[in-house]
Amino acid sequence: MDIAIGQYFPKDSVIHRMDPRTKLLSVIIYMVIIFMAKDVWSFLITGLFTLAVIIMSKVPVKYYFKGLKPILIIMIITSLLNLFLSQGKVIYELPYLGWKITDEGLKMSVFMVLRLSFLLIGTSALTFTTSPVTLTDGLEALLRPFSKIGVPSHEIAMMMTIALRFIPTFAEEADKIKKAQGARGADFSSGSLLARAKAMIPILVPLFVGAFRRADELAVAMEARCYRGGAGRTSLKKLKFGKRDFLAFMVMLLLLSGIILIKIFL
Amino acid sequence: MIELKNISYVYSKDSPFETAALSDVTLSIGEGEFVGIIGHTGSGKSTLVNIMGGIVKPTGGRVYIDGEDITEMKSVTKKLGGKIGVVFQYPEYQLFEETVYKDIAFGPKNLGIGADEIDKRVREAAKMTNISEELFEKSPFELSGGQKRRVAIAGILSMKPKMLILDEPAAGLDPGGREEILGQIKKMHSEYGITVVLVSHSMEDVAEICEKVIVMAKGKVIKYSHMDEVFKDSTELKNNGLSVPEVTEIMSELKKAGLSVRDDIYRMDDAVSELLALYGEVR
Repeated sequence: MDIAIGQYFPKDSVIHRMDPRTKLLSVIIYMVIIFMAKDVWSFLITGLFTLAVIIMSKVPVKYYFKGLKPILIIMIITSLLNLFLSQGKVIYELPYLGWKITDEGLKMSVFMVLRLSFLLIGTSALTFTTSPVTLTDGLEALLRPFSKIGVPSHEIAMMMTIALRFIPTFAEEADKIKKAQGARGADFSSGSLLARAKAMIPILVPLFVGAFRRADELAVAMEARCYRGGAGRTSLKKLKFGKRDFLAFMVMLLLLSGIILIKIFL
Repeated sequence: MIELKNISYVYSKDSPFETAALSDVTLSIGEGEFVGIIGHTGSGKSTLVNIMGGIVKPTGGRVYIDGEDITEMKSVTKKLGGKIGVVFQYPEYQLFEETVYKDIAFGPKNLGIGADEIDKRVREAAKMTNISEELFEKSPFELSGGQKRRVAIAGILSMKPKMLILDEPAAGLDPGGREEILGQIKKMHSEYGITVVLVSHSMEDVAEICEKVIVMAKGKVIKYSHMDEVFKDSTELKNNGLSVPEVTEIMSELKKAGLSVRDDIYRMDDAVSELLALYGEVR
């Protein structure tokens, strides 16, 4: 089973060493920037920044592109819709069909593809460089101020940790069950859509049974170790902001103000 | 007959987690043999049997079942008509049907066999694994651990395999359940003439029921011989983190202590009769 998104790549880079809170907040700022960018210059600057992050993360570029694969179809459809359905000056007309490509449409579709790719690359940069445990630690720390107004920050973070922890387990288990049913002559790849959907039952039933069994075992194991929720809990690794986090925030703010300035003056 | 030629296998190829599980394995298992595969965790034994059963495609080399090349073949079980059956580790986790009967019938149904023949096969497979017909209409999820395991094995036997591969069939069972399962596997071989390949990390289990043994370490076959030969030289086994069966150990210690007993014994029954004979002499 091949899941490129959300996978952690243990390497030693500046970005790996950054505080998870910095990375989380930076990704949020980055997303704001992506959706504010509406002209060539902003995209150029964001693109260069993205490239710099990719290089600094020391994760091979091909893994970032692998992460784009699942949304390829969405990207193609949105870019085609933008290409043909936008108003503006006609620059090309498809023969026979009469579909018109406008300058505005071309710009929009290119920007849309860039925007989606940046979005995925940015979030991949976060998950590639941050182990799930650190990531949820960061999330918990960021959510903690909200616990005063009743947001169960620790519980949310714990649920996330558990969910992330079990993704590979279930992927592996699904793979195992698929093989086992294949060894009993089950066929998943031929027949009508309905037949193929039905062929999933021998995989899904054992997978669900397994999920409940695991949840039960985990609950018992946690209780056996006196887990009682978030109150009074400390963590093994204390999160600490360092110089590089300060620097990262500076870069993000610079980038954000740059994009805002371009927006105002261009 | 199962033949492997220069088989190699690499996990997660082209990723940061790439690891070689098997390198250049060549071996063949003849008709009607009873072969054990033994090795430490991560020695590649599970991967090896998955490749034998056509479940996993090797990254290099070729696999032949009765002379037919199955290396590139898709859905091997179906194409070979269930000729080769694979029982995975913890097979009870693959049970899914509403009733025990339906679950055992799942395999032959997939092979496209008629209802009468399926019924015959289900009853036969249940008999071989000692599942009483009263359980047929029960949900497989209501059974005990050992019963579930036997139903899962029956689900493979109902396809009437000529060759049966079992990966750790006794793992996680209590001693009684262990003995029962292993005894039934032995019977499948002796009474029904099925070729059996048994993967285990327990030297005792393999020594007790197998005729030949393949010893694996670090993705390679380091020994493949008849049971009598394997324990003669225990240093190589020990170097690879394996040991001789406890009985063999005890017998060789007794010999060292000056008793006149054979030290090439690896089965409990043989040890008992040897010791009884000795006891008779002394008395």
